[in-house]
Amino acid sequence: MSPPQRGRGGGGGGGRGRGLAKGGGGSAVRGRGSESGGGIKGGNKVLVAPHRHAGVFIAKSKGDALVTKNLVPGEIIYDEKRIFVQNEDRSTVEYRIWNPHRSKLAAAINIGVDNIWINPGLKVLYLGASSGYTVSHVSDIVGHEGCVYAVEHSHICGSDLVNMTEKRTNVIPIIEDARHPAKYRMLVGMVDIILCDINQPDQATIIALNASYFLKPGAHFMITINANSIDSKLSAETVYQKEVEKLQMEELRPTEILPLDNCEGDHACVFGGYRLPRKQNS
Amino acid sequence: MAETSKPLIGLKWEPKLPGLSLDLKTAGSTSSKRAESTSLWTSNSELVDGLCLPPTDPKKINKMIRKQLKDTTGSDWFDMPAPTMTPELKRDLQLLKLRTVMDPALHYKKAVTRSKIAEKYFQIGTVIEPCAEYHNRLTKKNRKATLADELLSDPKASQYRKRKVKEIEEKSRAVTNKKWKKKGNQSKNTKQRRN
Repeated sequence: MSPPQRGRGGGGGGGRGRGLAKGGGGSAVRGRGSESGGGIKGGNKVLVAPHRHAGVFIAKSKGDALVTKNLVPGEIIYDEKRIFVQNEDRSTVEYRIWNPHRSKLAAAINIGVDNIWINPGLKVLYLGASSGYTVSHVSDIVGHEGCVYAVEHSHICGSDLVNMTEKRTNVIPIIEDARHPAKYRMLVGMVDIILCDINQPDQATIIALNASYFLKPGAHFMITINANSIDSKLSAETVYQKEVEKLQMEELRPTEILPLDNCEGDHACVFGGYRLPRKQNS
Repeated sequence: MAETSKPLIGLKWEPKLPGLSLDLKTAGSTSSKRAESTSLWTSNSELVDGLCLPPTDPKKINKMIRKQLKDTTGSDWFDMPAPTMTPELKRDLQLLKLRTVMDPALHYKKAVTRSKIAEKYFQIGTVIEPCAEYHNRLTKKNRKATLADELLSDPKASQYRKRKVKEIEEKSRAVTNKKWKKKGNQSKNTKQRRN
């Protein structure tokens, strides 16, 4: 089996700017390091353009920001900035700025992942939803036709999640342990993508179990690996490789590994497919 | 040969849609001419996809009218409409392309060739900050209507810009005798020359 494609972010900073750059235009290096949205302040005018990935947009002015269309105009999850647009036909749209320091998916998009596999209208299973920050942005992307099943075990984060869900009707909070998908199998249908952000040493088996219950064959998944929480003695690269091998045994074939350099600690994002049809060598 | 209106003579009446003519034989040949006169015909530059020509089949034309295709990005980006280009918008787009030179301290990554979608579909919006960021927002006077206006009113950027413009002007100004080239910005002649 060929090794999965090494993410663009790894192996030097050469391909670093591809994510935003492909969408159109460069981004301020200074802005990304210090603030969440570049040099964008309240009252600034920005230009919102579609990103290369479906459902995601870029806001450009002096600095760039990753942005999603707000499903619930007027509501913010925590203190993020919003962009208010009035179209020519007097309809209004609102976008929310997505912070790559808070959300690993946003960091992966900024670094330049080939495909996040999330489109408007998809059903998403999110394990390890925490307070719901990334979940809210994923629910923005999938829109009203899509659905996000957010699984979170802790009750403190769970209450934040439930509060967020009251406003967003396409998120279903599930306050259960992701190790036992049988407990919430009545609530979840077949999903098109699993996002997994649980930092447990046995996360490969957790996601494999959930995939066997809920993930469609031919669909995709994303896992964030925190090298320290799996095995703090080994080097990060070894940990990632081991996790990838564990996933491959469970029919979760990784296609991209992306080390997340702008997060603290050793994090990596693995994107891949589940029960992908084998390529025919003709 | 564009017809502006069909003369309603006699007992025959039919709606002025292209392709609905009872004269089916000439439908194919005349519908293209008739299509020019109706609002459905669009010039090549206005079409969504430059390769697509308007269909000559009357059924297809009717279908398009019924669907009332709008110029949007489609469902992938929630039907973002294309804005009508005004000179202000063009200026803003140009500014974004040239933002590497606006501030000497800010450095941007090299812009890869933009996707066709991002060139055509975009929106200008204002940023609304959360309540907690009351310290980091523009004052009322600093809020402007376009990106270009914002750049003009920003004092740091304008200092740099004025200095740079002056330097460029000084260099490029043709002189007969270098000794007579007036320097300094306080004398009456230089002030008059600059304004």
